[in-house]
Amino acid sequence: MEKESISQWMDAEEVRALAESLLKPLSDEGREAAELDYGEDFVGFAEIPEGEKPDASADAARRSLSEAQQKASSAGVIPSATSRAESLKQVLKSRPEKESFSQPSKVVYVSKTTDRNPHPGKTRVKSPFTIAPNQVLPPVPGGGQLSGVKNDALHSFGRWLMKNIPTDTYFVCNPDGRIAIDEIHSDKLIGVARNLVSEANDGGSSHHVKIGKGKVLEVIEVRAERGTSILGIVVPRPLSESAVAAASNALIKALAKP
Amino acid sequence: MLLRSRKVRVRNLFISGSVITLAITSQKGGVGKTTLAINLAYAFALSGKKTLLVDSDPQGSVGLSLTRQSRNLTGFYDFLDDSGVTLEEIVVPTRSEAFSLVASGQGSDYEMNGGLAGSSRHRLRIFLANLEAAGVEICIIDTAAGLFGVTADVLAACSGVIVPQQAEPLGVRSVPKMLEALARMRSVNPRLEILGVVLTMVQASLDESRESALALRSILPEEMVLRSEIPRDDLFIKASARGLPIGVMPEGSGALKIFDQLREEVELKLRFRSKTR
Repeated sequence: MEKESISQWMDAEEVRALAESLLKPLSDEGREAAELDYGEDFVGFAEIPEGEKPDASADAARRSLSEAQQKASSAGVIPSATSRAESLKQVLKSRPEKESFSQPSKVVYVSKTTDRNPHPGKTRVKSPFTIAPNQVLPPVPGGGQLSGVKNDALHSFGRWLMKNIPTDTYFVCNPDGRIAIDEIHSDKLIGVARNLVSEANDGGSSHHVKIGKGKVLEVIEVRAERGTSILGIVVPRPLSESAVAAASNALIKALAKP
Repeated sequence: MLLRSRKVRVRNLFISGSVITLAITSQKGGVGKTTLAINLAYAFALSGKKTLLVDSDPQGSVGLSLTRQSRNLTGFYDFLDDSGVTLEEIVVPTRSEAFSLVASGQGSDYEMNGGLAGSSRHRLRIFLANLEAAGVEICIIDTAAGLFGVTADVLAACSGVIVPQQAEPLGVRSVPKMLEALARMRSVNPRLEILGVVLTMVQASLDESRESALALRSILPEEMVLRSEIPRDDLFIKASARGLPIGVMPEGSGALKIFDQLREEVELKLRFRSKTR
């Protein structure tokens, strides 16, 4: 009787499966929440230069991404986000901290695809973000093979990504927080990506963070059927909107239930 | 050998040393978050744990419940805003040596703007990091309704979350959204333990309330719903009127027992999970 009445309002099996997934401990204990704040050396958000309006293809890509995300996302509440402008104001007016808590790192939020910078390659970064000046991202094993990926669909996605995006360094964080693919091998970068997604909190955005000379971490929030995933890709320059949309759609497909 | 030592380290994290930080949060308002936070914190304090109750709700519900001068107190949001404010300045002692609280302070800006940014988020981490030095063993954080804004920031930094859920049809229907929001939070904070849902405002005499409680227990895994249930009781209103946890009230021994059972359940869960890690 009770089950029957409540089943009119929700898919009980799906809810139970989601609840069970929440009870499982996550394997990546090393990714401490302490990495999630920017730290005392936070520089601030870089202004996005005044630019042209997005072209028609970018609009189409955005629409396509939005539709895909809408279709894929379940009926979850998308919380209201602090506007980027407000964040910028708060950060800029904040006083420098004296306490030392986390490892110093300069983080510059370069731009955000949903802000529609039409020429991401021309973005001027006031102050480059370096996680660790001497950090070298390890190369990915050759042949397009993904280490530690058991899921065939994700494996195919990885191959697709490397074929279509100029990268061999990326990660995918599942909706349950697990790292499904880790070809980036940097807890710090993954932490930065998680934090950006958390702070943006607007569903389906992407962010470009300069992490070194000729290296940009593209952070794409992908709202798929099972929840929000994070795709982080290290690329030579920020991805175009169409590339972001294509990567998002490919991941949505990979994460879709069989 | 390596695995063995790792397990020991994690178990110790919960049993001694590090502070346990638990957020009391729910998507829906009016489900009894503040009542649960106050009385669970009090039960922990009575058990001998040095307990800090923190009000991260800009409305200041904890302060309004327990202190008459809450709006004048320097509190949580002042600490976040001003690096000159220390933890010692904002901790308010109570008559119970083991129980202290931090009022929300002057959080009106956050009521308007929602989340924290940049240095404020850093201050939140500093706040939690300072608790251990202050001797706090368990910190219970009452949050505003909804898993966004400051509440999301709190969840991004906490070690566990407890979700009060009103035993009524509307409350049960909101569970999927709550779970989705928690899943999202776990992708941000992989350390976040979902300690479970607590049924609140249970009315044994009302069919709808009883059925809602049963429905929730039938849908969710057994270990997701805590066994202790908080009944709807006028005594909560009386306790709030007098600025007291319900257990301090002369007629509050029954309610105190329920919160103490809940406290035991939570502690067992923390121990069990740290052992299985």
